[in-house]
Amino acid sequence: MASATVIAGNDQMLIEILLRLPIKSLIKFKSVSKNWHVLISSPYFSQLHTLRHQLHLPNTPPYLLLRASPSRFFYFNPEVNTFLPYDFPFSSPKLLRSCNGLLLLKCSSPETAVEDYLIYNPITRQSRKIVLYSDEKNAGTTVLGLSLAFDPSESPYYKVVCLRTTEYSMYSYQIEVYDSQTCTWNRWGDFMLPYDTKFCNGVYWKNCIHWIRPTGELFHFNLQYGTLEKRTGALPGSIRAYVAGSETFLRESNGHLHMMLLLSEAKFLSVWEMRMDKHGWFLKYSVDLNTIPATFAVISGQAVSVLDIIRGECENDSTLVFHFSGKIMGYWFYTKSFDVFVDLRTDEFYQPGSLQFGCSDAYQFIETLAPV
Amino acid sequence: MSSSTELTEKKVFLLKSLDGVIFEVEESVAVQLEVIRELIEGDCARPFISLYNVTSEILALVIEYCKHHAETCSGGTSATIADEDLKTFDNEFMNVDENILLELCSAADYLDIKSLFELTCRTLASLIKDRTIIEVRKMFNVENDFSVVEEKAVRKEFAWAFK
Repeated sequence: MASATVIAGNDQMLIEILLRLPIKSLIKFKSVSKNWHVLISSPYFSQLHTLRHQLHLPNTPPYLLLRASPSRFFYFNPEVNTFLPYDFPFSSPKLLRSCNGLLLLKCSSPETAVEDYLIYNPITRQSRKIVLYSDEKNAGTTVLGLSLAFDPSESPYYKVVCLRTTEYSMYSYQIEVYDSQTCTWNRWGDFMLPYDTKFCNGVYWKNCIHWIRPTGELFHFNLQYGTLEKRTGALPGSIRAYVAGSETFLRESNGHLHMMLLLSEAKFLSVWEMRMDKHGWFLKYSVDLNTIPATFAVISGQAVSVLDIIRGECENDSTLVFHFSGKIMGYWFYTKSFDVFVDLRTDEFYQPGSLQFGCSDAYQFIETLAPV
Repeated sequence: MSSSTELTEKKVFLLKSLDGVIFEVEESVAVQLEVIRELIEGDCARPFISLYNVTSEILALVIEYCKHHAETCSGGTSATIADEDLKTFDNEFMNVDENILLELCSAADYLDIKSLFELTCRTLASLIKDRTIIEVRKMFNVENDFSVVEEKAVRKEFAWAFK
């Protein structure tokens, strides 16, 4: 008993033991005592835990959160290979962004019609309301999109990036950044961006928020320097041929930034990855979705919707997640094999013959204890 | 104290436990206790080193651990065989009563033996992973200082962790 007391009274040592526990046990043990609660909830512990488990369990695939209807969500846990319902503790949440374990939600109360923005950790279920920046300079402006910047391996703090119009020009934009460390907003402007930029799909990668145009052109806002620039040299001729007639979308997974180009008619997908030096795309994968074995189809000729790409630590694990014929399926690029993640045809929300999920319905997240 | 005969012999050190028991260990074992490394290197380890936080029962185990690790590492076997051997030894070594395990962890921390500290922390973590809150409180001798209302609020937050 003597040593148990010694350990329990020695926070550094207790932390060392707790760091080796999985998230689920840690959340449970928050109620052992006030001291345990404080230790497990601290940003310091959260960061140590994330770093440790990223290093020691590199092959843990991310979880996937799916929006089945405007306010119904399911999450896919790859460890147990099942979909489970996920209930947010808010009324009509809209999932705006997901970034390395934290979510950005918009919730509106039906009575007051007030819209709240929340940062939410789906694992600890903690949330924090973010009040948007407001002063005389952004009166009469429109919010075009919010993004989330969070990398627990770099910092336990996150940033919310708000892109909005300026009051004097339709083509000039301002960017406000909220820092969770200081709980303050900083404003940058004025920036010029093409009108068809997908403002609401800002993707965080390497300390920058990236926005894409349907042409494949990429713009990035550097959070460190407050600059907004076009990624030069990012679009060689070889990509331009693909971009014409494709749906373009931007996805980050496990430290890699991807541009996915889907030729819907031809059911041909190419996945381009940004080089680590940020100078240009290279063709990472391509998939002919006509090759989905007929055994997976309920009726032939059905449409496919691409949901997400999940990058594992090694090439063998990299998977395309797509929706096809009442199923959520995976395609492993390395082995070129298809498999069913989940068959939705027995689920109550299944609607025969229709595509129920699109690329804006899937959000990857990882388990972290990150405080909000 | 340096005579020519002593140079050829193995250096030994005396470690004294909290309850006054003296253990004789070879240098290869003693240097694994980072906390006394400076004393050894500075030749200040005479006549014996007092280890005030470790009982003889635990110190005997610690020495057994260090001895095996020192012998395996210098035994001239290939690295993979040595690794396998250490793994088997570590597994068996951790097969002790949990109070002993807690004391070993505490001792490894105090004596600054990194591999043993890692081993005991890892073993303790896997031991408590699936335990209930009440079991963990009892094991670590922690008092529940939440009020009923506070505890209810905290439990609500992690309700899903029991699913």
